[in-house]
Amino acid sequence: MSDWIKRFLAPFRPDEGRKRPEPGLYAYRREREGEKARLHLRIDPDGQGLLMVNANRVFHLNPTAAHLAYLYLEGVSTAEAEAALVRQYEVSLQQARADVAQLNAQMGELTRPDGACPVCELELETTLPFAARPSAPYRMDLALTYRCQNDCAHCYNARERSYPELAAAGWKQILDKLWQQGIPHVVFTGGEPTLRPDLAELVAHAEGLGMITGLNTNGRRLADADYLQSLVAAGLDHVQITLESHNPAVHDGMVCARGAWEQTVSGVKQALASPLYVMTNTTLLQPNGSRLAETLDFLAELGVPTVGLNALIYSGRGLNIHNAISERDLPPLLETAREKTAARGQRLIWYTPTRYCHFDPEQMELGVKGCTAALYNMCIEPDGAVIPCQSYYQPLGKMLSDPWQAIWNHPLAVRLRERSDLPAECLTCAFVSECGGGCPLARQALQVDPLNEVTR
Amino acid sequence: MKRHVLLNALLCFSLILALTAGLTGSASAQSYYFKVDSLKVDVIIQQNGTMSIDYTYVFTNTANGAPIEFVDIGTPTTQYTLSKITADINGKAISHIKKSSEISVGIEVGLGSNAIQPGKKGIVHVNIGEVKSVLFKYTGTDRTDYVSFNFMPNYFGSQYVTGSTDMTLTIRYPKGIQESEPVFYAPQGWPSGDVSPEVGVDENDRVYYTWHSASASPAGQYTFGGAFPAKYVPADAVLEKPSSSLFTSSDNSSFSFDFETLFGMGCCALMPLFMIWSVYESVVGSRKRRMQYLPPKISVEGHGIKRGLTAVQAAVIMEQPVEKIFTMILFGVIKKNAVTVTNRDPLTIEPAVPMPAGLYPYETEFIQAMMTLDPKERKTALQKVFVGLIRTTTEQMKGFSLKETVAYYKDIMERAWAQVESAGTPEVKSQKFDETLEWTMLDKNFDDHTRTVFTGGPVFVPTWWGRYDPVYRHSHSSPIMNYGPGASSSSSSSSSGGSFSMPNLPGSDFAAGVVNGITGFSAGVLGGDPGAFTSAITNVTNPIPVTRSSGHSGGGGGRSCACACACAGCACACAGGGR
Repeated sequence: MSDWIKRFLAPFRPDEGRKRPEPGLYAYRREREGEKARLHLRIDPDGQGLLMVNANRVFHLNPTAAHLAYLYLEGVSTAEAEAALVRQYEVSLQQARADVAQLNAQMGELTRPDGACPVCELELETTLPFAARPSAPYRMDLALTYRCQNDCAHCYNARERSYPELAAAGWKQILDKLWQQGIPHVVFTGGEPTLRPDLAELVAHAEGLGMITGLNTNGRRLADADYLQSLVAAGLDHVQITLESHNPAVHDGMVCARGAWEQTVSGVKQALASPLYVMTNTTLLQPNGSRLAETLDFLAELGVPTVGLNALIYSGRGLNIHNAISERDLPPLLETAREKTAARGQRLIWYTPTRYCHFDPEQMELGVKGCTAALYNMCIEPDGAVIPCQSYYQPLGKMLSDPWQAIWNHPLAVRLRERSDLPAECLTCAFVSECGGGCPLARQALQVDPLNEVTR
Repeated sequence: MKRHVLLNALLCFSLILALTAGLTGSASAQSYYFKVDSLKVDVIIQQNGTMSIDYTYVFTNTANGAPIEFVDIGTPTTQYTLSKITADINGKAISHIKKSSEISVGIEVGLGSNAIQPGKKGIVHVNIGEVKSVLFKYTGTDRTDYVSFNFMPNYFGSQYVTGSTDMTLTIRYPKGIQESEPVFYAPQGWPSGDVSPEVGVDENDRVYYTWHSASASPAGQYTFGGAFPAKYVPADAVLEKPSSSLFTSSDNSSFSFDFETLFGMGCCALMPLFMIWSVYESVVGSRKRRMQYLPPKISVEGHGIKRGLTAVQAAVIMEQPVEKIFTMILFGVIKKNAVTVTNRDPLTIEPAVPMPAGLYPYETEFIQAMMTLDPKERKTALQKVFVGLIRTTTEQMKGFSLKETVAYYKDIMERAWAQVESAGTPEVKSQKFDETLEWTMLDKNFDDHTRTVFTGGPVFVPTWWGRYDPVYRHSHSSPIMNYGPGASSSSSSSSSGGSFSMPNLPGSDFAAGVVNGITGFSAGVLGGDPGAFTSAITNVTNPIPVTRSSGHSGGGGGRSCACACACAGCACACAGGGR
């Protein structure tokens, strides 16, 4: 074919896969040399992108980076990506080559579970914590039911156990809607989600969409190997099991259920023997706080790779319990936890947003912890109502019937996101962007000046 | 009859242009979806026979639409002057006004940073001051010495627009024309049942016709036209028929045609050719549509500065020479009274018994390594110390900006120097120098800087100097001067005991003592080849990446990267504990 014909036909060459991606959520699985990663690229209507690696590392991409990330994830060759840039943007080939090379190198590292630190090694630009304003949260917790075999005295659940529940078909519709909104990660919670007979069915539906699925459970039903296997077979990715103490009496006392410890520990063991990513969570209260070291030893002996800790949540029964550990008394406990988990190569996750003037998680190298309700995560109640987080029982709208924008931009959601209700003292604090005044529920419950905390 | 053909040809051409625009849109802007709330078009036939066109668009981008970054406006011919086109978005002038790369005959205005974002409204105003070759000799039999024109306002591909448009189009004739002289053609495609326009004379004495419809389509292809006496415009502004140059493609490609020949073939034969060319042009145009380029940028929520590093760790991230970092560690443990140098060359130390509290792990490991007698084994042990120091520091740095952190510690170093330099007396200056020594040592020009600061004056050496310099220790046994209690023994503050010994040393000698310690460490401990020493370290700390097998997938997985939690974007934040 002569050159002029080639030139004439060149514009008609298929360009699929090299154009700017349509708004939406794109899911990828990466498996190489033993590493597995689940990647999600969310493209917003304005072209901005959000890259989520295993649903726990989030990166913000400008439109060009989002386009190139899409090409990278789609497996478009470097040469074709360069050509696409030159064709579609006002950029020289030289610049395009340099930028594609740099972005591909960055993507290579960012998409590896063991990749380079994005900040200190890749030197990505950092923005202030909690400064992002996404179009939807990164994770949605799905409280399938408020029923539970346990009866924790400190439980944050503020609803009656018989709260109305959607059927499986309703939850599937919700999952579909969440995917359409670009939410790649769901966590089935409750109550106790394993009491829903259709849990595995819902996990499978979410996984079929491309979501990452997790389960927050008391672990008792996981003692049943067949049941656990049904969840694994459905594609469940991770599980968080609440274990309050190494001591059966302390655990059972805290969850107000005799024999619970036996089942929960059995569930932990079963889960650890499965392909699931397993972590535990322990609420630090006075009954178990003093023996935290022993509990951590016990978890290490079990082989738990990741240990979660949190303080009392001031919601539901948590409002009326009187054995919380004040924020000021947390540092020695967390120091113990840090030392023990570091010595055993475990990962420690501290969940609770605290006031940094009382307890600074950054100083303890626990990471930046602030309230992410109605920002990075939200929750859907058993009846389909969306609430800011799973402990904040003020519905923002119904997921099945209300427009997402109305829910997402509900005045309460906006207030929480924008931290509009901070005390005046917080506004002048240097740490306000990270701290955000701690947990809004704690502020409301304690109703104190954050600089003068009173433990109830 | 010929006039009729010409007008038809012009009309054909206009339609094809419109088709081109539509096809182009489909290729380049798949996610455009917007409303044109209103459109006001003002067409003026000037006395010189040119046409000026003024568009005012009110756009509302839909929530799901791509940002409106460019607006392409078709022009009647290619004979326009770019310098006479102005545009603005919401009253802000637009500088990006170019020949359109999207449509064959027209211009593009780039909205740049004022692109109309999804869900937002924007008013785009474009004034095309002069378009030539728009008038043609009227060849009908009903009038003589008239000229005619056709005009099709800009429109958009129907797949990219929604809703209706409140549209007003006005055609203004050259000054001097009487109301009874001009004629208009009934607009084609116009939605309003009454195609009769409002007629009037404007403030510039121009006769005008105005058509208005509250329910026009933003994708509507409406054709307007009129005629007026030729005497009101120069004869040379009036064409007998369209010139081929008018229709030369916008990329100046060789595609052109001779209208005489083509019309000799007949308009029907011409149409398929036009269509093929139009489709080709639309695809080429889409390829040429090149959006404004912003270099790719990935950002992550996190922290800028990592505070709380020791001076030694700061030296690590500042990539100070390894021998200097070891000397800093040495000074640190000497100041904490953990060791005494028993010999400077080769360097040997004697640890204190018992060891003081408050040593950093790398200080303890350093002392242990230095106690190794075999030089080769000691070097290996020191390499391990350094590897551990780098790894610990790297771990602490995860989630924090290296650049900003280095700048932060550089600032601490400069402020340390400022404290020394601003001291009023040699005694205070020496005290400050002692207190901040770890930080001033971060200065690449520590040697010269020390000499400069202490020129003409002595440095009152601190008490620990004797533990560093055996010769000095043996020649000066009695501390003479004390500058007060309360000094901390931490490595980042003042010397242990807080007392100065006399006599003093000249500043240059003191600086030389520190610097010689660095070079001495290099020669005596690292074997005079810090490069080889460093190379052995970097082979460990910066290995070729090796993928690890985790066997797990999914959320919450992956390594225990401190960064994952330091980055606030981490979705594990408040992930639902507390049950």
